[in-house]
Order: sequence, then C-alpha cells, then structure tokens
Amino acid sequence: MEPGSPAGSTVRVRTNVAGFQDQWLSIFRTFFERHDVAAVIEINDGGASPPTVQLRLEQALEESRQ
Amino acid sequence: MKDRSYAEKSARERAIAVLDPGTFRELVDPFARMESPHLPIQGLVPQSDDGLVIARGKVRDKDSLILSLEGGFQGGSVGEVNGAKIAGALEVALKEVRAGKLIFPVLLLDTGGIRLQEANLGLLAISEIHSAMVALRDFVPVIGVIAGRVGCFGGMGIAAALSSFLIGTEIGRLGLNGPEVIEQEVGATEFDSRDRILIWETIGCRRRFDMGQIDKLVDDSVDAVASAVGEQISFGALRPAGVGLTRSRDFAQQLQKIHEYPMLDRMTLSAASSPRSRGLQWFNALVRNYVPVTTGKSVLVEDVQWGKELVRAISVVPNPNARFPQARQGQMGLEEGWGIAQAIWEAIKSDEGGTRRALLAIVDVPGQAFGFHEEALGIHLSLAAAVDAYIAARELGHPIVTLIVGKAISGAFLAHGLQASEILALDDETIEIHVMSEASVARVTRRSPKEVSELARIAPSTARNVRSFAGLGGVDRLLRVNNPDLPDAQSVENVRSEILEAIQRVREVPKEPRTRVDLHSADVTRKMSRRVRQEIETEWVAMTP
Repeated sequence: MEPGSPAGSTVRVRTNVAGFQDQWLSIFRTFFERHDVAAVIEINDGGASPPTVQLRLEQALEESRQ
Repeated sequence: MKDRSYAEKSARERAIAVLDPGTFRELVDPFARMESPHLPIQGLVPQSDDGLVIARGKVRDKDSLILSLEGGFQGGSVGEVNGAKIAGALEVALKEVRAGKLIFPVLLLDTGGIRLQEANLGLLAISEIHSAMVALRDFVPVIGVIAGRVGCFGGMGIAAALSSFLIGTEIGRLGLNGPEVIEQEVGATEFDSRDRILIWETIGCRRRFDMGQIDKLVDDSVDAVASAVGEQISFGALRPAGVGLTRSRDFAQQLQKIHEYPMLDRMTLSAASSPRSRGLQWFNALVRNYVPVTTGKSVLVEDVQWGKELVRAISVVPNPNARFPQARQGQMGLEEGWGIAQAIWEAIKSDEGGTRRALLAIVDVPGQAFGFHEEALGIHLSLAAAVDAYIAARELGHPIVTLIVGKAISGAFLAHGLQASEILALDDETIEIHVMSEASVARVTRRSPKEVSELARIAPSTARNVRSFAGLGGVDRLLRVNNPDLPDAQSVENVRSEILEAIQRVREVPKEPRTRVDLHSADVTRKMSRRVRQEIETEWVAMTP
C-alpha cells in the first residue's frame, strides 16, 4: 500500500484462485467507504483468503497513520 | 514464560530479531518490486520481495548484513531474483571487506533449494552464492542459521556447509536431497518421506550437531538464535584462507569414516552393469591418449602436460563396485565429493610458490546420489568440500575450465563444473542440463508430468538441453564434434586446443561464476540478475554514511 494521487485510488490483485471477484470488490468497496483515503494498493494474495486480506489492509492503514 | 519461537517468525521479523534494536534497514525492499518475472507466466503469484530480505544493521554494534529467506513463499526456494539478491549483496560485502571494512554476513536459511519453476536460473544463482561465500570467508566469518521449519536443502544445503559457523535450531533439518525427492527417485524403502521420526533422527539439526556437521545447536527461540549470532559476531574466530571447510579439513579421515560406516538394511540394489560413460570416454581420449583406465574408481584424476600447461583433469565416472549403490552410475556421492576435494587440495599444496597448474573438470554427472546413507552421512558436506576446493583453487590462481560432455545435473554440477572460470560444452542435443528429474519436479510442484514437460516452452530456464543453458549465459563456448560418444582423434585435438585457449584466456583475465551474468548470451535471459545487482549497489552506496 502506497499513497494515491488526488485523482483516486488504484487496486491490483494477483491471485491464482479464480471466481472470487465479487468478494474482492465488496472488500474494496467497504474499505474505501470506511476510510477517506487515496491509495495505490497491490495485493499478491499468496493463498490468503479475501477476508484475511481485508484484515491486513486495515492493519496496513493503521500502521501508515502512526 | 515460554520463549517465542524463531521459526514462527517471518523472514523480515527474523532479520529484525538478530539485529540491535532500531538498526534494521532494508535494501531492495518490497517497494522496489524486484519480483520474479517467471512465476506469473506459470500462473503463480509472485511476491514483491521474492521471498528474500536484505537488511543492513548492527549486531552487538558491528556492521552486519542479514540475508533472510522466507520459507513461507515457494518453500523458500531460490530463483533468479532472490538468488541475485543474496549473491549481489554478498558481492558488495566482499568488495567492502576487500577494501578494509568489516561487515559480518549472516544467512538466515529456510529453503528447499533451487526453485524448480526457475530451474537453471536458480542453479546459476546458487553457484554465484557459493563463490561469494567462500571468498568472503577469508575476511570475515560467514554465519549460517538453519532458521525455520522448511530446513535447508539442495544447493543451499551445500551453502550452509560452506559457512564459517553454522547454527541450527532443534526443529531444523539439513541435507542435500529432501525425503520426498529420495522417495520419488528411489522408493519408500530407501527413505520413507512420511516417517517423521526417522527423518528428524537422520537429518535433523540435533543429529547434525552430534555428528559435528553444525557448530551450535540452539532451541527454537528468538533469544537463543539472536544470542548465538551475537556471540559469533562478537567473539567468532576467522577461518583463514586455504584451509578449506573447517568441518571437513581432513579428507582422508572423512573417507575413512565412510568406509567404516556400517551398511544397514536400507539398501536398494542397483544394476551392477556400467552404463556407457562419456565422462570415461573423454577422459581416456583427452588425458590418456585412448589408453583405458583400469582401476575401479569413480573419481579419475590425472596430470597431463599440454605444451607449457600442466593440467590436472578430473572426471567422475560410473563404478559398479562403489561402496554406495546409489552412486554406482556416475553420480556425485559421498566418496566423489571428498575425492574431488582431496585431488584439488593436493594440487593446491604441491603448486605452492610455483606456477599454479590448470584444473580441467570433465563433466558427465547424472546427478547427486539419492539415498538414505548419503543423507545420514552428510552428502551435502561432501559436495560442499568439492565446491570449496574448486573456489579456493580459483582464488589462488589455478585456471579452472569445465568441459561438459554428457549430463550436468543439479547438485552434482554445482560440485563438479560450475565453479570453473570458463565452461565449454559439446554442442550436442542429447546433453542434459537441469536440476531435477521431471517426475520429481511434478511431485514437488504438484503439477502433472505433462504440464512439467510443457513448461520449457514458456520458461526457458526449465528447459533441459545444452543450447538453452548456453542461452542463459551458462556456457562460454559450444564445441562441435562429430561423434560425442566415440570422439575421433581430430575432434579430440580440436577440443584440447579449445581447452588450452580457455586456460590462456583465464590466465590473462581471471573469471568467476559472477562473470557469466555479464555474458552477451545472458543479456535478455538474466536481465533481472543484473537489475537486482545494480539496485543493491545503488541503495548500498546511498545508505553508506
């Protein structure tokens, strides 16, 4: 996760598990609704499930604010 | 309170844990995005640090370089990018210590060995890691730690054996071939990969420590590992140049130990017939003017005078009477590694103060010996002795030229051939150069054998022929001969003069495995190996006050 531009955020997910697009989309929708940030997010899922990634995103943001 | 487990930590946390608080600074961190370009094209998700953390910092107030492998990413396996990160960082450290600075390198190992998806690129990277480690050992102790649950295997098992001081935790394992691969290659009667008690009793760090193959055994705890590393950096003695592996200096004694070793019931009988061996053919043709060797030995060594050059030729050949059945077909086994090391150190000693003779490695090695006895006795150490001897000889000025005439495979090739200054190979499509049989690759990477054999089309580093290997910068010159199996006098003469020219080139401009990264043939295929090194150098300079 890195700071985004005023134009908005970009997200890239790389996974080799197909068929979870809806879950990924809802995770990012929730994330950007909850936090008013612009970020460049790159995710290499390494076999982690979308909910685990959601948790990590919250932790990453928390850490970036410290 | 229970101690915190070291193995449970990530590679980055492990690096932080051995460094003095607040001194951790990462080079080529995940934001540098040095990722493996080879994994996505194979449908695998890469990692932004490629599973390797380079950290500079202080250990007990001394400048240290920590290289930490992430066992959780692709089994800690070594591919092009993370391999170049390790080799590149060690090369920079080597430059610094040669200039009089003191930097203590520490390798936190948690790895199954070569990353099979990147195959020969991993193999080349590991030969560069070995080379840098041995060169560094003359200036500073190079500390190795078997840090995690994966253990340490393959070419990195050899690297562990090359370290000046090796620390293992109670849950660690160390060897050359993992139990799954031995089972795949030879069968469950040789080594049952599901028998966990047997595995730890054979290759666990406690067993290695009992055998004198690691220097210190510690609990799997953060405090224990950190203080073991700290103590070494504070008080550890240098292992000076020219003595070879400290754990294996006495080759005669090592060979004696092997001959006294009781053979148990775990014996798989292999065919006693000796396959046709190109290693033997070419040794006889080149070195003995077609006079066949008569002694029943697997390591052939002979000195020949070619014009002004005294050349010590070394070849590993099938020996149906070899003590270890898994090494009867020309494989690199226990006796072969120690045997090569002995032959090289003998040359080093007798040339002291005079002209350093050339070494010629004639390579036709179908692989390392896969066996229970081999692992139990520490085949990784035997192969490391050969690697170490080749590097020591090269550093002392012996020109080393490799001639690939047959198979050049994996750990066997690392131990016999890859440490040369120049590599010549017959331009013959039946030559095989790879890191593991297709059946074992399929098992370890959980792909079908068909998928594995199709992989070579999209990932050239997984191809198995000599031209592909040359395309990675692995070969300096390809030599055409009429009949590689039965070379005629003219072909032999041509090859001999090619060898002499190579020796001459090396006498003029010394070369090492690292030099191959810059070969023209590697321009495209190893561009990440170069980029990673440039990035390390740039960041290193920027970080140096």
